[in-house]
Amino acid sequence: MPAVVPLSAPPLDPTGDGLRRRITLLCRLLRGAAVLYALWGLIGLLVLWHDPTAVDTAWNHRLGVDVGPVPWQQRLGGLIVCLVTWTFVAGACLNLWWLTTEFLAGRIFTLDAAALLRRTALHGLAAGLSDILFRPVIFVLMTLHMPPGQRQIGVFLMPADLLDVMLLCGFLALAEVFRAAAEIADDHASFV
Amino acid sequence: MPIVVRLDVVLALRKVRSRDLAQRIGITEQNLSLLKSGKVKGIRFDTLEAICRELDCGPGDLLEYAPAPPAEDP
Repeated sequence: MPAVVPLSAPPLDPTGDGLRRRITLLCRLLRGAAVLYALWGLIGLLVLWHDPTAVDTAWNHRLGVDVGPVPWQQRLGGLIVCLVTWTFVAGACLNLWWLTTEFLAGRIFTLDAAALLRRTALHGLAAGLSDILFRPVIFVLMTLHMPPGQRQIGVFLMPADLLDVMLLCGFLALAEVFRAAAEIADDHASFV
Repeated sequence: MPIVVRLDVVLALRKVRSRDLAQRIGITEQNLSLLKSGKVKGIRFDTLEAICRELDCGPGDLLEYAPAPPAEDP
């Protein structure tokens, strides 16, 4: 079916300029926050894992035991594990940037925007889950140099983790709803 | 689709050019061409109303129901 050119009369649907105007400020703030969050996370990781004293202090406090000086190889291992999670975070931020760029260009109820929303949610969910799953790995890494009886492994879960996962699953469901809305808008656009 | 658009016939009977009609009802010539060839999924009531008003005709003059013949048994 050939694409129908929008009528010259103002559209009756809410996909026009009104909606774009309402979300412009929010989209710009989100874009800035996405870049800031990704860079902040990366710099924070590099600063923490680069400083032996900071690593020792952080893990003494977190585990409640004196982990002593953590060898550099283990610190490097910890950094790599954290960078895996950060990669998902960066993916979510990048997709959020692309999504808000689409919205700012007025391409709101489109299948591309729906796919970007879904990818943002999936990357966010992957980041949240990898953060939870890699915690025991970092526990082991930070205590690997200690005598076998003093090494620690444990699943460290907080109520906020569940909230994060719930919100991200909700976001994923919203992406599916958004895709259905985009398909309806696509159909609507082929009416003259 | 069993709905046939007969806009081209009505245009010829009224001796109205597509370009003129498109201008008078406020849609693009390209969209009117798609409508004439039946390559759209639907027509809005306000577009139909505008065409009927400008061509002095009814919806039944523009649209015709022509069901496909039943498939023959092999």
